[in-house]
Amino acid sequence: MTTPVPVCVEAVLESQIQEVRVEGDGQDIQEVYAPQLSMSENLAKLANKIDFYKDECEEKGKPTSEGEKESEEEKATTFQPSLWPWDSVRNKLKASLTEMSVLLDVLNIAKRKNYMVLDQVSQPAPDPKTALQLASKKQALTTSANILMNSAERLKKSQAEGTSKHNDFHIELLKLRQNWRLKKVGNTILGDLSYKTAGSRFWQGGTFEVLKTTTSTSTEPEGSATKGGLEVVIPNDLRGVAYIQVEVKSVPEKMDLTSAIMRLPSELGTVHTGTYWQQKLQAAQNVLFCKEIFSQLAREAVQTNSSVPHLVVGNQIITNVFPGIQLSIILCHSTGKDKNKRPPPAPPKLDHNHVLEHSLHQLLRELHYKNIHYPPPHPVTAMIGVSKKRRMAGPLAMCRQDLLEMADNESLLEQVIKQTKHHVLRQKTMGVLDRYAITLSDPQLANHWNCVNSSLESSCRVLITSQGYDLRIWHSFMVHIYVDKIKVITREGRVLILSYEEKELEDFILWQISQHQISVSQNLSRLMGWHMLNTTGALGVSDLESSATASALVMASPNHNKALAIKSGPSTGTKVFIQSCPKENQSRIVTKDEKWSFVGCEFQEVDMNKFEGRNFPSKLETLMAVLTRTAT
Amino acid sequence: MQKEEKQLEATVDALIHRVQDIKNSIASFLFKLENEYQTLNWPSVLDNFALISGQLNSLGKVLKNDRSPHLRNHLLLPLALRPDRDAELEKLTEGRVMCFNHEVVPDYLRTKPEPEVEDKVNIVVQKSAAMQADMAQKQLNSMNKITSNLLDIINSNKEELESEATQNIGKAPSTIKTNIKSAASTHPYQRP
Repeated sequence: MTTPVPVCVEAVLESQIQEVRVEGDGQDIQEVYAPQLSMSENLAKLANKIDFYKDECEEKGKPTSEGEKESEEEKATTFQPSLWPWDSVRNKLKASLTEMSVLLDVLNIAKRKNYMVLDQVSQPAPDPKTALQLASKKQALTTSANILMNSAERLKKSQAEGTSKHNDFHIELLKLRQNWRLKKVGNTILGDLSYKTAGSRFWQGGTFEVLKTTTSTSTEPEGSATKGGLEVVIPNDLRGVAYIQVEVKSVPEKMDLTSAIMRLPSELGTVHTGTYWQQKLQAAQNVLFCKEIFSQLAREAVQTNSSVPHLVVGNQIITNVFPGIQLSIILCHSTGKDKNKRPPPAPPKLDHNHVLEHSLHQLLRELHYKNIHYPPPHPVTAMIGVSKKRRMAGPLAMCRQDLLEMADNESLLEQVIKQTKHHVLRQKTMGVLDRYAITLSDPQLANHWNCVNSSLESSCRVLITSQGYDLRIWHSFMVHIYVDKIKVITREGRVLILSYEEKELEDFILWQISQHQISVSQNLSRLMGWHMLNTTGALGVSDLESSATASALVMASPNHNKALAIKSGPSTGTKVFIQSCPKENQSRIVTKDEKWSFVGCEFQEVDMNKFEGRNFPSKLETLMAVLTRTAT
Repeated sequence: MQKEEKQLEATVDALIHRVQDIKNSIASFLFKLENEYQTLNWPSVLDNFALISGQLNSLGKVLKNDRSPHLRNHLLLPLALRPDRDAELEKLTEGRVMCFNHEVVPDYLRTKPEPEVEDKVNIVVQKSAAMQADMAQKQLNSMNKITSNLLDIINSNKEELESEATQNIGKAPSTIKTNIKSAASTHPYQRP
């Protein structure tokens, strides 16, 4: 009892008990510990626990239900069930392969008689389970019968469909062949919806497959009437709806890069699976066409080195047309598949430019046309696709410069940018002219746009008239709008080139108006028998105008006793001065004649607002009439 | 006794052979599925299934053969477990079994079927239990009758089809011959 017992201070379980000794009469119990494992021993022990074999034989040795489940999960991750149609078949086969392998192994091992033997035992013969057999056979027969019946049903249906003319596959195929290119490859019918025959050189092909629908269409509630027995399978990347969106935006100062985000409007319509093949093919063809436009533009945007670099970001091409105005061309393509995934965000306000989109389509079609239509003549000995001018280059000994000029053709992007520039410029000019036409009442502006114009040129005639006097007195100028400049031709034939800045046109209009007032006054003076003493188009005196120059007119009444001075400036407006006669002038001795009495008299401004009349000419007429009468 | 053992050995050999065939065809089918699924079509899949089912049938025939001893009366008796690797065993089982140890054997000698299979069997067993013995006998007889009738019909149809096909092959040239004969008879310069 008192004998000292060694107490182990190590943690429990760290060293295991190897043996328990009972000595003597059972009072003395001694535990013998196993020696502590060294590091390397420990490692060896742990390594022993790892079942390397388990991995190598791929669960084949363990066909337990757990193993099966694991391998199934593994398969689910490696193969997408939707992508791989044989998934279920494969899983079943794997399981059966496992069982077969086990059976084979067991048989082999048993045959070798090393580990296992087939040992004979006597066993009573089993009672025949006829009922069980019957039940299982019945079940097997029903399943196979069902399969047979199903297929028979389908055969019947297809037979019935074949007799009814409406859903005939061959008639549909005939219709398809009338509009689309088809060819037979092996057992499948392939079609081509690309623009290659129309001159396209786009790398992406548009092959589709024609299938006969075997599923009964009668099960579908609607659309079965239009759907024939023909189905077209379109490649994945051409499915859905696409269009090219062209936006002209005004951005402050620099190019706005933040707007270069991928935007796909969610309101795009999706093509339903049940639609008629014609619509499906057309949609796919449109997708292909849009893709070709975009890839062509993107390639050109990267290749051309202009002063302002074009940006290609994702499905967007951004370029600056004018400072502060940006053109972005976006390829919108929705396959209609991912629509269910995310809720459609609020569609941003899109100022889509339909005209430019249309012209893009037109330009590509022109390119296609040019690819296969070479201008005649086509000599037999010459290379195909060489123009006459080029063929003559040798005999005519053209220089390198000429040849380079000949090879130079405008890219799609350049043409579009030009059109955009013209478009922007026209919109701006229109805006300015319309604004003046609305706000001005004295005189009035009337714009006449030419209906004949091109995508790069348009013109407009602007008439300046005063109401009531517009039959005889009008002033006009022509505005020609080009790609990035405006040419104005005044009535006198003076030609001015304006830039894209709005201000220049505004100044010009104001100047023309001031000129108009003077010419109206001139006309009035001629009509009423006044004498024009002096006219000047560029007045050097008086206040400085903010732009252009003021013009002036001085005229005298028919009996030369009154004089009027009219000054008209673009910014200062029209002012009328009358030469008044001070009384002290009467006492002059040297020149007694009355006609000299006005010499040296001061001009005083007339407040035209006090006169009655709708506009300046009517007021001026009143004034002149009054002056003529008082003088007589 | 000697004779019986020989018989047993022969049967086991035959079984191994058949099972090997089945295993190989399943493996090749799996390989096809995984590697050639793009070009795979339905008829070839069905062909593969037909091959496997035919091999299963022949395996069944071996089991049912009169000459083979009743395998029911033989037990698989594990003699020894050895934790070491056995190269010969590895070769025999194509690398699936490295050593015959306590981990492998319980799995390999499992007699309980897979849960899926067990469920299916259970359903059938329940059905058969619900049936009464005399009713079952009746149904069995009638089914035997029907199946034999069906088999007759199918066989006769098959024969008909085959004979038609052979007739057609034989017919085609003969019509030409008769035509020639008739044409010759109508020829103005025919021999009397």
